[in-house]
Amino acid sequence: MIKKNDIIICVIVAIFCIFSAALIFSLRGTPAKVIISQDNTILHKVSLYENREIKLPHNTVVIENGVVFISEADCKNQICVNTPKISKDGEQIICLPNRVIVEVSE
Amino acid sequence: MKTKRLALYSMLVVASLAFSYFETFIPTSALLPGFKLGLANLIILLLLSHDDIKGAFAVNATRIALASLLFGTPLSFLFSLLGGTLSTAIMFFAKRIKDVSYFGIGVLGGVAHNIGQLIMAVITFKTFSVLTLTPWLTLLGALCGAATGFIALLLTKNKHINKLFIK
Repeated sequence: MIKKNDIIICVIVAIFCIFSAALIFSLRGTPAKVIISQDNTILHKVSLYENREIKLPHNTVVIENGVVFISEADCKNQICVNTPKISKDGEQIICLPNRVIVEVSE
Repeated sequence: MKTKRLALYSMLVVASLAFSYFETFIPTSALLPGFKLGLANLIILLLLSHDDIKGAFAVNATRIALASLLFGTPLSFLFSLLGGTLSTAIMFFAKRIKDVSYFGIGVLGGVAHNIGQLIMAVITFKTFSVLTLTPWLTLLGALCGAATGFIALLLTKNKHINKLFIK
């Protein structure tokens, strides 16, 4: 059934996961800003601790008490709306149809 | 192509499309945006188990094209196509490793699929910041790949299923 090299593959994948997670956590700074970009062009760069609602052509981004989420989107899959709220450095909400990234940054 | 082969591929496309449709009802996106189980990988593993790499690519590409038309967007088509093709290619080569079962091949396939999607995300968003999702995508890809790989391992032992694939 399950053979020797299967275990080795699993161990390698597990090490890769732990290593990459450790790298990302160690590079994490104090969250301070919210960056909203499209195609790597920054549309908005605002404070994470200032409550506001930002209307984009296809999405509405809400910043509320240090957490960010997308409250509305005009696409049919609504993946960005259903993404859990973000608050830590490096966390993102991605809207694929409109190529928008909302990111918490230092 | 023999008519029997054509009928088999058509049946497999429909079966994998049914898997894709079924996945739209499971709210896996709540765990990680856009994340899906990848049950269609089972069909690809079955084709690979009979060394039908061409069939695997053809069935996968047809399934992705139809699934994107029915439940996706033009961008999701490109994401799935790169992920699916990379995963099929990696699993084809993984089969050549000694002492490895469909469990390990499935794990590698699942990881390769999500790495393919990440590459596509970097190209689409023109930024490397999406790579912060790497550990989660790798972990979930490996878990789902292990599950489909294990089911494939059981299915390849079934002689009735194997009979369908004989050229």
